[in-house]
Amino acid sequence: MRADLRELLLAANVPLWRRLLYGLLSLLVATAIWFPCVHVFFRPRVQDYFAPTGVAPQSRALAARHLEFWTRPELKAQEIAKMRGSNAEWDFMGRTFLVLALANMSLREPERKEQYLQIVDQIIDETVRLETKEGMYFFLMDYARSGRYLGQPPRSLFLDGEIALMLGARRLVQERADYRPQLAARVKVMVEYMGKGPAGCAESYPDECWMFDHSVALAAMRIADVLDGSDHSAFAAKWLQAARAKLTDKKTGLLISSCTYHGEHCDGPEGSTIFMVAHCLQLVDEDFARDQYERAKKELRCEILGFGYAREWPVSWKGAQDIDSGPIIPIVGASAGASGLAFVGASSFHDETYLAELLTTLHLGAFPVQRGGTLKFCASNQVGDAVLLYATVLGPLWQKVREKEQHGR
Amino acid sequence: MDAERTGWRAVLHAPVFSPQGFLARAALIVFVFLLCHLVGLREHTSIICGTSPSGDTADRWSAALGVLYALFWFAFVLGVPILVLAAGVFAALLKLRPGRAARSNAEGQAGEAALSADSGAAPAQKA
Repeated sequence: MRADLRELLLAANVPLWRRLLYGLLSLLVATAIWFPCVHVFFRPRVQDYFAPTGVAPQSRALAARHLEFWTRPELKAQEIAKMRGSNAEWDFMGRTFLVLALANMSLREPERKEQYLQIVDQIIDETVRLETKEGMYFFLMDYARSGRYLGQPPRSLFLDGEIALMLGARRLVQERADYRPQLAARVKVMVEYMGKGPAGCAESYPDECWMFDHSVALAAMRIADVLDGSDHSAFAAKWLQAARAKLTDKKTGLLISSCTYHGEHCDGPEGSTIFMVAHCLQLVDEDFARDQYERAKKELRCEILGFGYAREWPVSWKGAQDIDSGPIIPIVGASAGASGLAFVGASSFHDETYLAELLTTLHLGAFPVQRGGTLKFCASNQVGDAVLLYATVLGPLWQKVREKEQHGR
Repeated sequence: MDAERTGWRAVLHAPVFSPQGFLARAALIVFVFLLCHLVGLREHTSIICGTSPSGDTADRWSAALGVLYALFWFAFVLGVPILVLAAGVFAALLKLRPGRAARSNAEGQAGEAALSADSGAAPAQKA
């Protein structure tokens, strides 16, 4: 019996051609059985990450890690050094997304508001201090120094928009008097620079205007309006009308990602931009924002055997891998940057199917590590995890803007 | 030669295209993956999003370790189950192959005949 089994396992006395044939056939059958089943083992429960009220357990674990390194300077320094080694922007954006996430968490869990706001204030104060002390180039990629800003004196909408959004988010949760003039000043300068640009666009880098930054700026203006009684609705509507006419990719109907100061198209629609744009434009034009999300999903969403991800570019657009897209996985075209921000888009528009697919891929390919009540994804970095955290808790902040506007009327 | 080896040596020296060969390769992948995991190479996978684990973008060694971990992870979650399933399918095919059935039949009948001769009884008829 044992000898029989041994003979069978070794395929002894079987001609080579038959072993090859049976072997290949077996591999084929096994692949056909296993591949459609894999996703089942990696699909987490969506409600572990996304809760309609309160904070879902995995969001809390993600947040715990961020709170840990904002309270332990040696950890923070280590994490920030890793990101700045690749891209100084990520250091800045990691701060923005964490502030936005904590602001939403403060509204979801009022009993922990004080703890969250303490970190929010620490981040905002440090960011503004660094920008003031080191100059705007501190948070920009090196090439910002190599060209000349056409709008003078030089300013970056990337910095003004995100700092304004952080200040506005903080004040929406709880007013802080000294942030009021800071927000007003940022909004004023954004309106001025967008207004004086020949195409209605302000630069983030020399002769580079980015849709991401403009949508963030418009969201920040809207928040400032509901907080301080200003009214930039006509300005925002006019800007959006011009963007729809001149800054849209004709093949897909999606807003492009970047243009020159004079409005010439540079990068076409990109996954690492459009999902955040749709999210921010929810505060400006809800219907248009939803239309952009649906188009982005149609053009960029991919699903293979239960695993979902986003491409960086539509099929009709040929782009090159860059710092925003992150490394692109050949053949399937999956982009870490686009897929990360697809979480923000899908969460904003309550797209649970896409969220479940994206989470499944995250658990397969992003190498989660759960330790001592904290969660991190090793294939990600601080900004990536902060984007994911924000995606899991977003909603209450935007809702508060809508409510405040209704009360204001 | 293979038949004379025992234990791990037999497993490692099984022909590639055999159920045991498939199982041996699955075991090897599991072993290497666990080794990579235990020495902490998972942390190096941040290279996937373009961030060097050490903060130094020129640190190719760290990037290579991250890629190595990712490769063995995917081999572990995709390759190992396929190899194990394939080993089962392979064994089933070998068991069912016509040559083996005929040989087993012949061997069985010869054995029974020998037994009958020993006991002086007529061999039993197959149904």
